[in-house]
Amino acid sequence: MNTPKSTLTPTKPAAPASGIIASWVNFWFAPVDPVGLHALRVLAGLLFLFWLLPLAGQQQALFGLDGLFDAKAYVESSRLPDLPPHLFGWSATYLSANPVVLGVIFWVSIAAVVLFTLGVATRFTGVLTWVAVVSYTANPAISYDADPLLLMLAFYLMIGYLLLGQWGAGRSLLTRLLGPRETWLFHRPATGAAFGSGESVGANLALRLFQVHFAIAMVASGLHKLQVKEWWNGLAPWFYLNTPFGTTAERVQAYRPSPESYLTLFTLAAYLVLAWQFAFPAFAWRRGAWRAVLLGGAAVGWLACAFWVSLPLFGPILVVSCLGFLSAGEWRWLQSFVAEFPGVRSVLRRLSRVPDGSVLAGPKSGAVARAAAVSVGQR
Amino acid sequence: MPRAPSLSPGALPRWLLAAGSAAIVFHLAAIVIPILDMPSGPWITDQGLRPADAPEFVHAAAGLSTLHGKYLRVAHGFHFVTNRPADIPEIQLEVLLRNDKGEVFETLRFPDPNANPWVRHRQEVLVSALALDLPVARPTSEVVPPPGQESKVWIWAVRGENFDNEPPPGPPPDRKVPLEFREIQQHRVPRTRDVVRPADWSQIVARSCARYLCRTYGAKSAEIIRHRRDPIPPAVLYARETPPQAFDELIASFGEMSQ
Repeated sequence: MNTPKSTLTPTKPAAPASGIIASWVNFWFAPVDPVGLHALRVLAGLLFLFWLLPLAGQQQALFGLDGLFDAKAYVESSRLPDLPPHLFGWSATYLSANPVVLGVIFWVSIAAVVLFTLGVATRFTGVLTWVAVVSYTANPAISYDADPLLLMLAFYLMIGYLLLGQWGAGRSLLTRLLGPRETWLFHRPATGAAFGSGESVGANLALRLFQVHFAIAMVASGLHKLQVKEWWNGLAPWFYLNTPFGTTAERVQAYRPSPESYLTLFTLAAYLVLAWQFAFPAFAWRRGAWRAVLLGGAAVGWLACAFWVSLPLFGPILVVSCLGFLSAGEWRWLQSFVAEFPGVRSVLRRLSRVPDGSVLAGPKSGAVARAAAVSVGQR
Repeated sequence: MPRAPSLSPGALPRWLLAAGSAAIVFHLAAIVIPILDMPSGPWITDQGLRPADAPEFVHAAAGLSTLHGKYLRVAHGFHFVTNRPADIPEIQLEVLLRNDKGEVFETLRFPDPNANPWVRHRQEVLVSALALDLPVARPTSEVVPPPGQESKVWIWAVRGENFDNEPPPGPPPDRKVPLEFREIQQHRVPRTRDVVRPADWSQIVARSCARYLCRTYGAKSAEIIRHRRDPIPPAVLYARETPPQAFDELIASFGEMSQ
């Protein structure tokens, strides 16, 4: 659902819509510049690689039916009552227990993610990427809390690229099956056109679905925390920081001079986390200074997960997911801003052989950004 | 390339907007249902702390999210395990691999300290499955079944504990004494101390790991020894000295398992 158009002329603002139905239609079905979808694809693709590549060589142990959780274990555990059904799904790795086949499946998955990240045949590689993410999060014995968020990212990106560019005439069958060529990361647009500039209802729909689902996840997880005493008394961070095997008597001793100060910090941090999660839907779609709350919170979460909490994937997912709330106008602005850094512009120009002033900076790209902002601002 | 005119929201036909809206509503329902269809709590009840069931109307509608949960894999309760940091003991495994002669020829550790952090993290998740212990009901009456009809239970027993005679009224097991996984007659379950056993899920994962390691290393059997430490309570900050038992490990062997 992508309608190519010249983006050098700012989109004429539509008449302001009013009423619940109009708001609903605008929220879900307004066509937008798909730059947000493309940016999310690149970030999510890097995240998937960041997650999968270090597991190379462990395919059989971690994912195979002859691995640490084998076929017999699946059969035995399927008889257990009260286990959540999502533990038992499907996976491409169930096709064979042969290590060679598992290796082939793994590296084909990596190749699909790389191609998807680069924007090659995104309609097809998007589906393969989703299949890969489902497959490598299917083992119930090694699945952990960040996995559902990975699945969300992969699923909505797949939906976005399945829909992108399907609406309207003039598309070849190959384009309809594999996806538009414009999604290629280093695509050289025609002079005067911007990368990914055709507006798309599909891109908006996929991003909106992702945003709403992620906001629901944040609030649901926050509500669950309220069933836990350590979040009410604010001591949860203490437990994340002082893991049983990672804590020594000396480390505890180091807190002794001023335990009240530390506990004040821990409890404050716990309540800030709760406040951020509960207020998430209230600020996630707001512009301006609220972006600092959204992205600053995500960045702090990443730092906390990287240095103190044993949740290595959670932080990057949080940041990437929060970036998924940026509007097309904000992405265009960010694109121009980054391109101003010394060296970046020349590197980007060399990579994409983009003519001066067409995409990344200059008056024309300013028009692109304004056009996107106007388009998005209609919502 | 010829450019098509801009598509405004109004350009989408009404039937498509209606169908799309219906699909969105269904999708949102399918992703919200599993969030609500989760037990909550535990809450204080007449029978002690117990979880409360999910609302019945949500439970009745659970079928709506089958497609999203089982096949699309996007429906999740978001009741993250890590939201309960004080309830998660940390586990490390020591695996003794034995050959045909019963000799230990390899000792493995999980999480593997030499693995990269990402693999090690997944191994941590795997071994955490072996953490959960469940209470074993103590017999409340003197029922001795006829020979051959004894009902048996598996428990964590203190190494060397004798269950052939009347249950000894001994003290609770010292955390430093290794436990072993043993099958005993139900009426021999000690009544004077809490008795626990590994959860069924833990046993399944332990057996599966043992099978894999036997296959991989060509071992006759694998003995999985669980080292467990409970979370350290913040109350230790206020003690004059850190109580040494705060760092005690509970060591328990799942026994020798083969392929």
